[in-house]
Amino acid sequence: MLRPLRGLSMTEGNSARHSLKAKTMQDLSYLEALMGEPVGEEGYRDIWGLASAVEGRLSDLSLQTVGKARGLADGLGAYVRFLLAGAPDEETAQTLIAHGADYVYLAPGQADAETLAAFLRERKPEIVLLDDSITNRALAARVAQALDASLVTEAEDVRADPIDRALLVTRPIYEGIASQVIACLAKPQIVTVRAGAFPLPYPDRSRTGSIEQLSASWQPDAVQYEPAPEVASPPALTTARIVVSAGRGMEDAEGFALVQQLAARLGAAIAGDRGALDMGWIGPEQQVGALGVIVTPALYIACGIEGTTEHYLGMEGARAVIALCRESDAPLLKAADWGIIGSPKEIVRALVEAMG
Amino acid sequence: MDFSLTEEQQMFRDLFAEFAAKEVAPQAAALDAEERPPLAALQKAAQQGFLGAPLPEAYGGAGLDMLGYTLLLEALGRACLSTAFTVHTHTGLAALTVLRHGTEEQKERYLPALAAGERTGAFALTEPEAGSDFGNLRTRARREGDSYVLDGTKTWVANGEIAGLFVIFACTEGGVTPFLIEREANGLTVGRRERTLGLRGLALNPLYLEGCRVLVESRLGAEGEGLAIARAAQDRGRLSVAAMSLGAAQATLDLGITFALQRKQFGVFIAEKQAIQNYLADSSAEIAALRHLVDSVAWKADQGGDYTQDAAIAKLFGSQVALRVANRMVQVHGGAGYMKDYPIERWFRDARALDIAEGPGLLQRAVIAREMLAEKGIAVVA
Amino acid sequence: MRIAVCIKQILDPRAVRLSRSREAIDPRQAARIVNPPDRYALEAALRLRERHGGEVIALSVGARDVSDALREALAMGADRAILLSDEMLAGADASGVARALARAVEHIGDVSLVLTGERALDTGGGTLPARLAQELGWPVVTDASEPQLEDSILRAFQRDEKQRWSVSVALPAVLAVTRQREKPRYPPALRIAWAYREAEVETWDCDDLGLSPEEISARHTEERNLVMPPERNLGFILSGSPEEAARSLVAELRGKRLI
Repeated sequence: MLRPLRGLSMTEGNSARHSLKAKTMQDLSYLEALMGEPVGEEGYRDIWGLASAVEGRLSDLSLQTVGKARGLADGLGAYVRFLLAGAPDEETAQTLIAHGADYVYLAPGQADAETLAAFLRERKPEIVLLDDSITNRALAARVAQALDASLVTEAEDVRADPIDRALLVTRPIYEGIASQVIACLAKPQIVTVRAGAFPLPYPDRSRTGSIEQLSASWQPDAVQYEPAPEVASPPALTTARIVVSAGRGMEDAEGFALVQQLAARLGAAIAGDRGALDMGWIGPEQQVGALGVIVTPALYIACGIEGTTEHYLGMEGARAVIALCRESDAPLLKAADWGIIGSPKEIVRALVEAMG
Repeated sequence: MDFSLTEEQQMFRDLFAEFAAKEVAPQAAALDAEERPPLAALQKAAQQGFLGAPLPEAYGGAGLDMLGYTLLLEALGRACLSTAFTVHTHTGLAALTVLRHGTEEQKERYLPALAAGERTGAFALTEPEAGSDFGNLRTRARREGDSYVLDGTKTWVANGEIAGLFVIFACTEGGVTPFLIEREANGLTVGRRERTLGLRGLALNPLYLEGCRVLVESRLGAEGEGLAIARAAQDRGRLSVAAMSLGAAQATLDLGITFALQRKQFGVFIAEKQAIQNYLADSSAEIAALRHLVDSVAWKADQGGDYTQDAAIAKLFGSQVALRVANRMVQVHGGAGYMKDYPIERWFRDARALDIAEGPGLLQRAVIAREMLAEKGIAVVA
Repeated sequence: MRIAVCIKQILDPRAVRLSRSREAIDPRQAARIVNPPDRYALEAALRLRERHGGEVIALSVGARDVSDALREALAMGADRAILLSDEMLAGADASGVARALARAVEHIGDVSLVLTGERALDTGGGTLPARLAQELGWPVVTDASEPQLEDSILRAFQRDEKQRWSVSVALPAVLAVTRQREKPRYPPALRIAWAYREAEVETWDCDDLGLSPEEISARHTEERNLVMPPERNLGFILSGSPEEAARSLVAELRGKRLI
């Protein structure tokens, strides 16, 4: 199934030595590295990852995932092996190696569940890390079901239990009011990792690793995808994840246009307080408050709103609040997770720029 | 007595609550400001089968008992009292009166249309010179061959200008008798809308009958049965007002609690002040008591038999609780409670009507006392 | 066309509270409701039936009290409701539940489409639709909206992290429906009365499905402790020029994955 592209020039190289340094004496996995014998349960070994290059570039999330895999591998005494799907080239593979991979396998196409499951069944990985995305969640779920593996999606944190090597994965529950630690009992242990859960690793261009070309034929998915035109309608105010809200502090139509820009940049719904209604910027159906609409977004950005009780009653359910206010004694500042005092117009303009 | 709701009733309760919160409550302020009847909500309620909910399935209903029906009124009362009164008039007064006392032909002609919202029902009993003392009605119905000719004036006819079917009470030779009269009838004129303190979404109109000729088949029940029919409707109406009062009291308490948790005075939330807590606690206790009262009277109504005194007690206590809680919650709001911008202001105006509608509290006391004394063998002429 | 809709009864996530002192979820205020995305799935199924005819069958796994959720599905318009209820299933995880549901879909027979919500809003990981598809050997489309049927090709839209896709797949298939424009309908009053007074919720156990304990009881994961989110620290003022403050705010928001 495997056709080496380049000889296994560094199979045991700096990775094994590197991990030896990090070992404690209870952890016998270093013996595996020395003797070439698996010590993991039933021969499940190494940390596998799946990455996909888009136009020759790896996403930040993929780099975060490979960095985390490296960290876990160092703790467990294991190799990091990455499947690189899409239209992979050697340069992308080298980037993975620089960020912590020991082996990179170039797959000729997108990974489909059947082939990936067959591949992993043969390879017996101890851990499989994937970037958390809609596609990968479905892929991971199919593979886990096929292999009778453990699976935890949307991981915010991944640790290995120092005693039994079991992965302890943290993920949000009840739409994020708390997080649950979940222990993986079955191997392989498959985890999809959320964006931003781990820091971007620093690349070490001097790291070396092996690159192999896989010849297996990856099946095209039975599902056909075609790009669809975006529907430009902003999200409904009551179900939007982010709400950007304007008040009289935005001064004039130009100021409100900045608020609209910020909302468009974030894919947020636009709202306002009574002041914005009086200015004619928003309709009554966009007025947030006890007398208008009550919103409960994950993030509420109040631009130039001082914050009456009436308004507060409409947005108190927001998970996080930002208040951009002119006056340092604006009531909303006390209810905000972050506040910035100054000209709301200038701050909103700076925010749009800072988001790039 | 087991008042715990069945799974079916829980489903209805949750559904009524969701419907009221999503389809009715958001319109309440606009209905009030524009003095507009809740036509859109009526249509949506009809589509869901709520308008005919207490009617048998054969007439487009869902066969809900009185307990189930009070759940609907409580939910509507918690969202918008104008809408609750509109539905109560349509369903509780008009449709259920036709169901209980109509001929098979009358039921088939009107009930499916009422359940589907194709006609809105109204109930015309009160007159300028006769309110709750409907023994003194001055509207006359003269028998002429196979028809009756009605003359007279009715006031405060709820749903007047939007109604397609009126239940109109008039005096015949045999005594008080109700008639089912369609909007299109000659000699029936709906007068100009009354302007009111609250319940501004409820259409209240005078009704003028001038040589209004209807066929004998329009008569509901036999001549002279009108008093009994009106009393049965009143019992239902009083229980219904109690259920709406329960919803309204809960709605105003919710507003007060939310406000008290946000408003700071002298550095502390006013909810932390004991005076405010007293208001909230008293209200909560009264609402809990009212809930059990409404449930038990609805249960009694469902058992059949007389519940006139119980309905009067529920109506008296319910309207008192709703008005007291609304009054306290205006106080909790302080100056904001007097502002049109805050919904508590509308609730306060609307809640005042709960005492007056279906017979004012003073009358309920007379009814309660009369029934009480009658048990002791003393007859009181009300 | 015969459509199966998998629904789950969950604790209302809007009413679930966090008890910091006990480091636990406090569900006392939370009613049991039909998982909201599953109601969207049911709505999508009913719309497909209205246009193309056929039958909608609601399917759920759980103890007897879950039949309440199925009666709600019947009230909304499902033709049949089937509850998979068995002590063996009580401890099953996502893998076992998917296996049981797949077996039930096969047992019903002639099902060409399985719809379900994109995820359960309680503790769900959003893996059930794909697991179910794997068990059935069918393709799956997750996070789909506005499904349409054209000559046994199912078309839908999917929005992933980057863009919106038009997706088509030949039936049979599994479709996980996201919250979409078509809001779940309110059940009509008469239908509720029917669902509670006359309709039957069929109950199947593992014997009916020919499921052995080994197939469904394996535990793949185990819940350990809860991690409390950091307490909100309100009133933090970011200082500096508008540009500096904006940059540090954007960094904070990215760090907390709020944007």
